[in-house]
Amino acid sequence: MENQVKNHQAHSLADLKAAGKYFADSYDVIVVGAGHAGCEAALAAAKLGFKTALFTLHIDALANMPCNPNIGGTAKGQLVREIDALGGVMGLMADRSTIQFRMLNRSKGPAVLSPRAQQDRWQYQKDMRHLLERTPGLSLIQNEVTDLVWREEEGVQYIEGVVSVLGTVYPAQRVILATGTFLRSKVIIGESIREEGPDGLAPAKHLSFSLQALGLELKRFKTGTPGRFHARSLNYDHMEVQSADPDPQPFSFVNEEKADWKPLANLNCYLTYTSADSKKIIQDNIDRSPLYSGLVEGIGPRYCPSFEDKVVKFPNRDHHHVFLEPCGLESQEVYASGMSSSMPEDVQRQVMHSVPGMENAEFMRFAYAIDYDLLDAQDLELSLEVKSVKGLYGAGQILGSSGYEEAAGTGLIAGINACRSLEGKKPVVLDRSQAYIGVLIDDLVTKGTNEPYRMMTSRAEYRLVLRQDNADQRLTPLGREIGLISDDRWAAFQAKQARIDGERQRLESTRLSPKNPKVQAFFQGKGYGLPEGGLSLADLLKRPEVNYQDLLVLDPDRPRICYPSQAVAGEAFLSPVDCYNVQVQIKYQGYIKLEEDRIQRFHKLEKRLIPEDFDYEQLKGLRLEARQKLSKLRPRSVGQAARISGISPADASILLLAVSQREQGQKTSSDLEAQA
Amino acid sequence: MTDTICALSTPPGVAALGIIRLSGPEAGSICDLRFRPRSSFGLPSAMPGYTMAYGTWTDAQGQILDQVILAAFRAPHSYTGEDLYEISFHGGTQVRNSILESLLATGARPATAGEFSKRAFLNGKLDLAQAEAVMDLIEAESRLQQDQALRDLSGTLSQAVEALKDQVLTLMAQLENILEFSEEAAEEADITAIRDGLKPIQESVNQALSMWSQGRILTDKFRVCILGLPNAGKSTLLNALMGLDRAIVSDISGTTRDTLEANLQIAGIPVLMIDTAGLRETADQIEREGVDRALTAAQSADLVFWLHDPLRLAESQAALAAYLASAPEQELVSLLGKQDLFSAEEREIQMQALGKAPVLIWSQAQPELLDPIRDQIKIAYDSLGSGQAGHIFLHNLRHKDLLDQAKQALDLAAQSLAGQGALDMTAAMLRSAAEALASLSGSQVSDALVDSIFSRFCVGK
Repeated sequence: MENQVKNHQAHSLADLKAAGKYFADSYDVIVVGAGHAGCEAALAAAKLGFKTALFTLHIDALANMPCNPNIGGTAKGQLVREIDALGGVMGLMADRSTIQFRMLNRSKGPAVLSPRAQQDRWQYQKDMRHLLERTPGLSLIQNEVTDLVWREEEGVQYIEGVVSVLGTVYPAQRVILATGTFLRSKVIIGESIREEGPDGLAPAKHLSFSLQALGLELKRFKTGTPGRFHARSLNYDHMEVQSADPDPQPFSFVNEEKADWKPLANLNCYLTYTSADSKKIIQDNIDRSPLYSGLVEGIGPRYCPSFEDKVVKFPNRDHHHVFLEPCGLESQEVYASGMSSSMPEDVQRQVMHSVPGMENAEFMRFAYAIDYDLLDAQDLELSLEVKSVKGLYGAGQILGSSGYEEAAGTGLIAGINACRSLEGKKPVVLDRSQAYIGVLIDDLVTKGTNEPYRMMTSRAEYRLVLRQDNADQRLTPLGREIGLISDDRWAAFQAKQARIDGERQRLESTRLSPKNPKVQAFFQGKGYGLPEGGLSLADLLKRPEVNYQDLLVLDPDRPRICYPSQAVAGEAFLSPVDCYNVQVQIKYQGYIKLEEDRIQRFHKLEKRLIPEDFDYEQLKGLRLEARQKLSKLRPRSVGQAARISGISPADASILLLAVSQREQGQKTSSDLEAQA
Repeated sequence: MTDTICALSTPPGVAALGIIRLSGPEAGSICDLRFRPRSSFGLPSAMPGYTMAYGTWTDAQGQILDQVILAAFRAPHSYTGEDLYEISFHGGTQVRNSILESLLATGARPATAGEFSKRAFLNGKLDLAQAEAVMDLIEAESRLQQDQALRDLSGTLSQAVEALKDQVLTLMAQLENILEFSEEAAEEADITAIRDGLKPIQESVNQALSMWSQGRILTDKFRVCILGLPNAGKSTLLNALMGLDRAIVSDISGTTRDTLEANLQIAGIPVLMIDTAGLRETADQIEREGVDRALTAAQSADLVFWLHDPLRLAESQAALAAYLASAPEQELVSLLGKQDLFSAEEREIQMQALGKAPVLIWSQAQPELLDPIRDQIKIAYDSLGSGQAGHIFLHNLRHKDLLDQAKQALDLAAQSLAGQGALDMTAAMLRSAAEALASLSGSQVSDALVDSIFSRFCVGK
């Protein structure tokens, strides 16, 4: 292995030129990997006007969904809405391939209300390929990247391009690594271990060594996926049906505005449960599990345990969920959510056949575990640039995340920031109170992760303001500033804002007189006492049992509800999502206000920036461990420092004090200068 | 930070003694100039740490200001981590001011609010629990935090609050599981359990807050009150516990007309001993006032020692019964005093007269009899701490504010659970409460929450 690292030791463009290597076109931005992260990164870079190349091992497998055939879900749906609001494409693409839409958590509140759409995974790939191929300034290239090219100046490393497996040099000013689970990946099924990527695709065997030659530490994670089954072999008769929502909603703002948006289909999913037999089969064969025999080196995720993990960790539970989800319209493949496994084939067959309704299940693909190399995200800045290599960025699973949506979110940010650095602009860093994307990146970069990281709403401290219904309000102005929001969309967004603000003001200022017989009747009907001085429509809407629809009798002159595409020019109207947003703003005003107070407190430390040349060694009060960690990670603010694991509140306070003193000191000396 | 700072460390006002502290690199040399040691002592700058010297303090003109004791603490083994001297002088504003002036004249400067603690903090001398109190200072120096309050911070506050926070986290994990894994967790959704779990937490927080309103503010002392008839020997007992003459002791009954308070450490517990006027009907206006105060003090005490006078046993028992009728919840231990005056047989008769209730005996002549009395304090203290919020002593306004925040958030959470409020709002309020409690105890919420969800529930696709 050391030898292999040496073989990849390298090379600056100058060295390669001197060695007579073949040089192909040079690019502003090269993206390595065309999964969900790579596609967003490359599209953002090309749209921002930079000459971009997107390298993939397999053009036919770009934007692949090798695990669950859906996009969205709790926290993930919010991520997709944020990506869309910033000008990314995942929402638009998913809206074109939806075969079942469900809004999760309808009864549990606006902050956890989460859109999720089952996808035709092949349709998604087709549409993405269509988009990539038709984006000006974007080259899609099937070729394995085996090496990075960099130069060193005064101890700082600068990226200069990549080398392909054919030995061709592609100079580039910025390189984004979005390698997913392909780096030296191994697929494990029972005793069988093969050097293979997901879905039987070829892995990237070389790039890891180049990263090590650059001085980067690699980690190794494990993840897994369940089997796929032929639909004709499944008996849905006794399973619970999970049907599509009657009122499907798109992810993208663009489609939200259209009356005629429709999903591709409204297919059913089904729910069944494992049996006591399933548990026994695992228990009898646990010694054959590579997870428990030590064959798997990577660290697996807690949130996505294999079935054998569930049996071992929760031995008292006899039944576990199995969700059966179609993978596409044309295909008969069905995904068995909840049943990820790395057991040998014969055990997998026994287990699946012990599940009611799956007694005769025909396997089309087997479940497997996969482990792969990745970077330590703590080696990156919040901009997603690698700290020790200027111009090199990471996105997606190489950072330790898991999930298509998490990948797309970091891909978009890496793409944006690579471009901004080319223009000498400050990177876009979303903080924890602005977006789930901010929480995601901060968690990965600041705290680091020891397992594949999945976004959850409970990871967001300010969940009440990070809702799916206000993603546009939170992020589209930023997307516009970045340059990814078109003029048309910006105008439509502003119109939406005006409608929402106008309606809120109207509800707040429209008073209901206690003398009005309609008002009296309404209050009587609800069993409320009528306040003497009357009240506003907004006041009434704040009551938990009253919704916007109920108010119609008291508010006959309200704007018509329709899609913007249906509105008559000059007419006051509200779209269904406007209505929902206004309602949330009014109903939860008190709670949201409290959350905003917490955000203000959070910003206090977040805004205390630590000077880049700050010397932690001089802070005697810091414990040695804290001093070392801070020197290594170099957080940008005291708030970020406080979130690093192993930094105690006492350490953070010392740091805050020292930073404040330094600020004061500087102020004093500049005051003195001013006087002099 | 090369300045040497000085400040009065004892409360201002008239007292028998006062202490001025001096900290910084020049502390030793400043003392050398102002302090004249008695012959057997060396110069202050040559004093080893943790030693004292006796001598006179002089002003810049060499005039003697007072006789003082100088205690030396050498860096880094001092409160601030710097060289530090404590000058104990005789009380009185005149002396105090002239000593402070002499220090300023010799190169020290007055400390700003909380500066001793700030230095201690920067030199790594404060622990985690104390850190957040210092944060307070940093954020609002103008609020004049006394560093006395900082030093009083003990681990008990952190522990009790941490336990409450964990209870909130448990509820949050249950709720988050419902919210996060909505489809899988449907069967585990049990709102009633969350509602039931919330109640005891609210009660604990309310209880702690009500202690604040009762005036238990800047101390986290365990309050022990001594009651009994006049001249039963209460002050003698207090003095024995203190090991010095704190109260004025005489044989004329009714000597202690007011309550006297003394701080002591018993088995590591900070105890505030309260000696009271004897309880009896009296025409004397001043003494009447003393009796009233005694009763007030006793009612707010965590433990009462009732000291029986063997010479007036029946009267003492009647007074005890009357007291207990007015304060039935009181934690109370009976003592039988003055046993140096009686034989073993006589004691036996007295004990019988007192009936079944356990009684500790006490004699001025046998100091070892103090041990079981001290043990009683320890036992009562421990029982108070067993999971009760009675244990949360609020140190300062900031602690109260945080607890108020927690209370407000918990109330809103309960409200939204009871009504038709959305569950995510309930969760947000629980998080607010947990955060307020966490900043009281110096810990964090978010990681703990995620861990808690995964360790409890089998979730994931």
